[in-house]
Amino acid sequence: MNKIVSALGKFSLLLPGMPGFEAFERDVVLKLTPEAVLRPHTKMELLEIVKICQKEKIPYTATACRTSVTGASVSDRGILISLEKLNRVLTRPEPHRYGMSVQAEAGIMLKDFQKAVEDKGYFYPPDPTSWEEIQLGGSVATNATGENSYHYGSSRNYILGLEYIDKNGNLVWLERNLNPLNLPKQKNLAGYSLELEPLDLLIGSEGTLGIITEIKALLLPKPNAFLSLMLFVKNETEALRLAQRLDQHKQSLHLICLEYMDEPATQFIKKRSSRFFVPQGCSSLYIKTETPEGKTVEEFEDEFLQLVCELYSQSISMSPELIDHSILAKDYLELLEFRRMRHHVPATINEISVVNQKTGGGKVSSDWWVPIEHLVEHFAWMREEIKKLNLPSAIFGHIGNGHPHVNIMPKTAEEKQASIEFTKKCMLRAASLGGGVCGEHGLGKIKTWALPLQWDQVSIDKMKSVKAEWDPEGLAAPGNIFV
Amino acid sequence: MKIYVCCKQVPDVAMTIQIKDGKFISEGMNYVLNAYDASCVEEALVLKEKYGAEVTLVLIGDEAGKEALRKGLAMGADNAFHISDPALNNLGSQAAAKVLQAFFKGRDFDFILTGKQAQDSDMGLAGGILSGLLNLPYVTNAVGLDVQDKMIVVKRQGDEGVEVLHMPMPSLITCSNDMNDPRIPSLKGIMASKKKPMEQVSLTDLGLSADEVLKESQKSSLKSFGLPPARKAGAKIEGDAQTLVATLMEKLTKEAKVL
Ligand SMILES: Cc1cc2nc3c(=O)[nH]c(=O)nc-3n(C[C@H](O)[C@H](O)[C@H](O)COP(=O)(O)OP(=O)(O)OC[C@H]3O[C@@H](n4cnc5c(N)ncnc54)[C@H](O)[C@@H]3O)c2cc1C
Repeated sequence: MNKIVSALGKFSLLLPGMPGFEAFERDVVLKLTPEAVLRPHTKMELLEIVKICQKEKIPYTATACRTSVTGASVSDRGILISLEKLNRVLTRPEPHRYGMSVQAEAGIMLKDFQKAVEDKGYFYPPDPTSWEEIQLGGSVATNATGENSYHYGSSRNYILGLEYIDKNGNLVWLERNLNPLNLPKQKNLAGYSLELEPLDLLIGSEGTLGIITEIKALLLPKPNAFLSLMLFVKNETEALRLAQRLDQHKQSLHLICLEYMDEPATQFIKKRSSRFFVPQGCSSLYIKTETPEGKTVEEFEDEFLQLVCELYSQSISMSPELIDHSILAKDYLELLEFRRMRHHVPATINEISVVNQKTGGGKVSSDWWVPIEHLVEHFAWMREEIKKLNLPSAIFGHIGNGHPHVNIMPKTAEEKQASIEFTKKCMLRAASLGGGVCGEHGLGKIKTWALPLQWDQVSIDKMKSVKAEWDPEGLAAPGNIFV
Repeated sequence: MKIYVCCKQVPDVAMTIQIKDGKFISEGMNYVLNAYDASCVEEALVLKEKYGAEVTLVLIGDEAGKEALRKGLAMGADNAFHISDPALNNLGSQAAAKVLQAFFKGRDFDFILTGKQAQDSDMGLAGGILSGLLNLPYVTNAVGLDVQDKMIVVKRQGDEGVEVLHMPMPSLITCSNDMNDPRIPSLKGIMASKKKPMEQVSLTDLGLSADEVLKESQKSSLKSFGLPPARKAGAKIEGDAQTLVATLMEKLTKEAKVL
């Protein structure tokens, strides 16, 4: 502590016990107390702080809004550096060889950044569920994805350039050469992206390769109107088959999002919804489509509904009453209602978890994904495993990306351990099918054990050598990604 | 029972409103059913489900208005009238009420519901003027409706609390969006709405001339649109609790002079 005060005392230090400090001790899952928190007002101040840390060998972890669910943004080693004051949009939207681009500081809130570009007539697609409460820098450092990633891909697909502070305390600009829209639009694999460009190492690096200071983002033209449809389906197998059929018609339906809720998850929304009727005992799919250029919403709506109904009725066991109850959201408030409804599912699971924690249980959630062609078979296998576990569960999520969030809700410590073992098995199997062990939340500090489930030792060694080259003293976000 | 709901199409509030040279840019805007009117439709449908009723929608507007009517029909209204004429673009509240007066002439109904205001202009005038022209008893800002012994029981949000009024039939009631959460149409409702009657009504059908409407329109006119001024950045005070309170007290007494 004395070392930190003497080295960094000229900056305004937030120390344990001071008002406002507590907020920096927790992310969603971990409580860790850093020695101090620094909130630089300018990039130069930030640079100076990092230089001192490097000289004095003080570990430093970048922190944004601490919505990480892995402990990535909190630390009990060295200091936390909050980027919250570096929050400006730096340029107007400008032409770029891959479209329009805009540059901003990493600490800007994602929602403010999105609003700023929207006001200029553009669109920055990444839309994690937590979009209202995170920073642009946090979203890039985790390569955040959301429900629309089914069509738009991850944050990576919209990053044209990054500035970061390197191991010698210099600001380094990394520009992208390839068109990011042509990169695979897939969910995350654990660890670093070794096969792409240098800036891709930083995207999703969870703070371990240095602090990102500025971001040049690719903007798209503002999309046309959206339609959202919630389809009720009798059982899981039918829902997954329908999801696969919808996926096959992704282009003609202009689908941008394809989500699933199993029966327990669908019943959670039933309790909350006064604006539509949720039939008993069914699962649901939630899809979103974007009106194509040159068509009015009404023209497209007719076409869209007709094709969806056709695909729905292709299965004999689909019951016609259920499609009648399906609901369509068109305007802002209805679309928002759908979004909130979906948000209500994890919120309910968290409430159950809090109750379960009192008896040693909680919830065990997973973040694995599989290529969609393996979905039905992987689900069938997983359901057998859940049967053996004999514990309550709820599954919802990005089925179009083969990425459901599977939640087991154990009541005791013993049940919790069994749930963790089950989750590991799912992850391992997902990786062996060509998928990933953590689609969107990263590894942080609590899932470092999952890296070898995804990668062989040769790849892990390569990642470690990247870390050693970029951050030889191991000062940046220690404890994230690697054990 | 016969319930009429007067509706308006308004720009979707989610979209960025653009204004150029004092004019509202409507290109690229999505038009939706005014949220206050959606609450009227919902309340009428609840009464229909409880007591049986025919719910009819009326809207003055161009092609975009059809979509708003379609939405009400998909929610469950029985039929709709679309009053449309080139002379009816950008109507003021006075002129809209005049057109609706002509529409209701000779029609049989138990009550008329309108939103207490429209989300675009927030004027809140058309319902009141219409009740005057039709000589109907009138209540504003309803947050609940029921029917008992041939009377309409209206809960209205007043300044002091919720007032309960018993209104005769026919009456005109303007409704708040706090009244309910309007249902989101089911696929069945949407499919059915495409087959429900939507009758086109012109000015001639109403026995009105374009000149008459224009005259009414001129009684009040909208000069120009402007965006609200950007809010000044607030002052952020930092420090420990003692400094915070001291600085705040100083600002409240010396700068804002509220203490
Ligand atoms: C309710 C809820 C829903 C969520 N939904 C989603 C979802 O749909 N999709 C999804 O992808 N995630 C989701 N998350 C996880 C989380 O919100 C994301 O990972 C988000 O991108 C983190 O942003 P943040 O600003 O909170 O960053 P933090 O949590 O503060 O930081 C995350 C990581 O980024 C690093 N970091 C932050 N800023 C920088 C910087 N400038 N330079 C270098 N490293 C930096 C930190 O060190 C840390 O490792 C959800 C979380 C919650 C609580």
